[in-house]
Amino acid sequence: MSHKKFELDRRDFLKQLLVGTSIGSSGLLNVFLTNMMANILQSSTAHAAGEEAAFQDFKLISLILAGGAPRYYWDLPINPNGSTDKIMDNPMVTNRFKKNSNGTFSPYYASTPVGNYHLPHTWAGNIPTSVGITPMKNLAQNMMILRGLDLQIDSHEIDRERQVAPVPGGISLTGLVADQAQSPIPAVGRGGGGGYYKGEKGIAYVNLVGNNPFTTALNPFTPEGEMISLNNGQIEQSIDAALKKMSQASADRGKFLPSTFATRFNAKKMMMKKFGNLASSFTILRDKYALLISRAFAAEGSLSLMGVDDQIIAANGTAGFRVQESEFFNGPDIRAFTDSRTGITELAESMAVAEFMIMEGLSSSVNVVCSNITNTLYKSTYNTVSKTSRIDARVTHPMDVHFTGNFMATILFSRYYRALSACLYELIAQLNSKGIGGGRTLFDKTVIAVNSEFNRLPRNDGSGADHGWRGSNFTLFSGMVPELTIAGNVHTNGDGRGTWGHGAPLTELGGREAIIGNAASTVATLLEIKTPTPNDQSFVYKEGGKAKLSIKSLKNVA
Amino acid sequence: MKLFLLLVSTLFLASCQDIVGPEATKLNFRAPNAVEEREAKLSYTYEQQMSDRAYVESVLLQVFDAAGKAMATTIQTEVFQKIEFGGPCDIYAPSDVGAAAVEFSREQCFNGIGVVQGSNNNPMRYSLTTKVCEKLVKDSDSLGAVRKKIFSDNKWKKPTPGSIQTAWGLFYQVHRAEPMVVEALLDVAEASSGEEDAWRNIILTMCISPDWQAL
Repeated sequence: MSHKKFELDRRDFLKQLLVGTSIGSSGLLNVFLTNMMANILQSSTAHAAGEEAAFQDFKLISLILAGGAPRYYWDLPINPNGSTDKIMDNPMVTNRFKKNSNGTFSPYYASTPVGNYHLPHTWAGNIPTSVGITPMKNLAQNMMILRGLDLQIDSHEIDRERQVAPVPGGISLTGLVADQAQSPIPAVGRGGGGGYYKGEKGIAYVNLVGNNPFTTALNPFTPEGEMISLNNGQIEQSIDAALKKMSQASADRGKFLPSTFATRFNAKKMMMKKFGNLASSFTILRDKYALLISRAFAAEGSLSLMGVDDQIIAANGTAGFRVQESEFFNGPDIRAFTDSRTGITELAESMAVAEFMIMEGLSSSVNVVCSNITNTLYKSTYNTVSKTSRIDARVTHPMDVHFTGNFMATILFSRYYRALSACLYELIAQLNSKGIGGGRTLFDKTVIAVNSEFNRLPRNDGSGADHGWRGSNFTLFSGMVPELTIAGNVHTNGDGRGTWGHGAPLTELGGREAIIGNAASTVATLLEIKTPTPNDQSFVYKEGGKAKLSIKSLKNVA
Repeated sequence: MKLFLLLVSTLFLASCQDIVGPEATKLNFRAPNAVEEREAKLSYTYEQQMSDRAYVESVLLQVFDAAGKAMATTIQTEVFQKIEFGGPCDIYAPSDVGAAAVEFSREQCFNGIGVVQGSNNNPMRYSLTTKVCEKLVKDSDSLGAVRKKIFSDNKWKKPTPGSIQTAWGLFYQVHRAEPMVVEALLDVAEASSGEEDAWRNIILTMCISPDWQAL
């Protein structure tokens, strides 16, 4: 995808966005569109004049799905080799419905062929894009799944931190990437990522909070009024000349590094760039991703997933229809659980931050966190303890889904991962639109790591899933991954709960199970940085800039 | 023969630049040349350890006699509360005496940062330094405070090498300004209009020069 195409897509998207809003039908359309175009063009102008050097280093985008998302709907294939893999069913490890002869429905695990593997049935569907729809499997072209990781500790906070800092409190992947950054704001984050950030050089991490994060990011570089040392002709030139003499003198003295002066010159260059309309730029990007999320949860038309969204299932209030502890869905159609108002806390904001900071060459290390599912629709529920009902209630559904039964979870997470996939597909399309020379794109220098705190341990009665910390997943997207790649062994009957992802020994690791350190070393190998866990082997090595598996085991072990 | 040697020397130097110098950046700098571009590339390695936020705040407060004045708040906002200048800070400080109060405000980590940072060379701190220095030299009280330290009769005079060395010593305590630096600062004065403007621009140049922050 060329950069020109990228601009065109943005415009197409905006038209689509506007058509779906009240603004689109009002006389304000042209003014609104013109203003947004001006914002984009201004940003693009800065981008075009931008700092190519800032695109040459490696980039890491870490997205954490806080709360502990169940992975067997998306990036935990329990029979990746198809029918040759033995699996044991668990009533919670499901992703599709089948109609029984008596007219009732049963959820079950199904898979679909993608590349050389079989992924969960969710991948059989489509995802929304900025210009229409596309098969979800197109997202898997540069995807690497490491499954069966034993996290050793059961903790939301600690395991969230360990996705980037495998030794809690220690050096983080995000910090190590910042240490090698050539971009002006080495590391940024949003949503609590600062707590995980630690490099070796002590480079500052910028926390992009609030509804105007781009302004926060660029605040240091935003001139205030007329400045003597900027854009001031002869005086500016004489000041620069004096600073260069100081730099030369410091170099001659050998005591101070001229790099301090060079950095100051770079600061000046950044101050002279014109990043205009930052607040509205964030709004536009956020809304772009929010629209994708909305369409994914609405599951209408071609976005309806066969065997899930096309089944009208009346709830009967039993375990599989549980939505919260003691609260059961009892409406006529479980598909009402989400609609176009449903979203994911901080996902759109996170993606907007990632796209802007990386695409504009501003940062190399982005750490973002999303969490609960907002505005789920409790169309009709009954609480067996309080003896109360909820009708048409909008509820923020927690991601820590201990009590979401298999029917409701199948509906919820097939759509949740459709939304997540759509956002990732859009971000990757943008990264691929930015050429960096040598026939490569920014995606070829970037790793997007998508992880939750842990997988979920399914309950044997289909009533929910607990913390599956002994069988976590680690999933990467990168141009350095040439094709869909999966590695890692799991137990066929993990913890007596069937096949759900419980890590099993690997011959390549001397019979040990893979742990989070192996995943961290894998990321470090791809990004050509030191690993924070040097005694843990990487799953890959690099050859010709591309990842090749050094740990190839992919088995279900009895 | 001389021409040949000149040609060989030129080619050699050019090739050395290719070998030694990192890949040229394509930054939109106003007056790019090979040396600047090479230095610009170097800067992004962020290797140099720098003094922390408290030191920078302290120097600016003392040079401009800003303590207790409005500019002290500006310096605190633009320097001390910016994590870009590095730590130290205590992530638990705000809760020492309860959520609603701060007992040790100068221990605080600002901007939501959750980890104690070291202090490192980065363009963000220099942009912030530029902004606060510009505010200080444009403030008549602050610039007047510098004037008192340079001239005993508290009157602006045409810059001389001697008076420039006096001003230099406000920021750099250990080494004197080299003659070529003094010459360059006199050029800054030359480009200015009037004695006060000349000193404003000279002090600004010293204030935004980064090496007084280096460790």
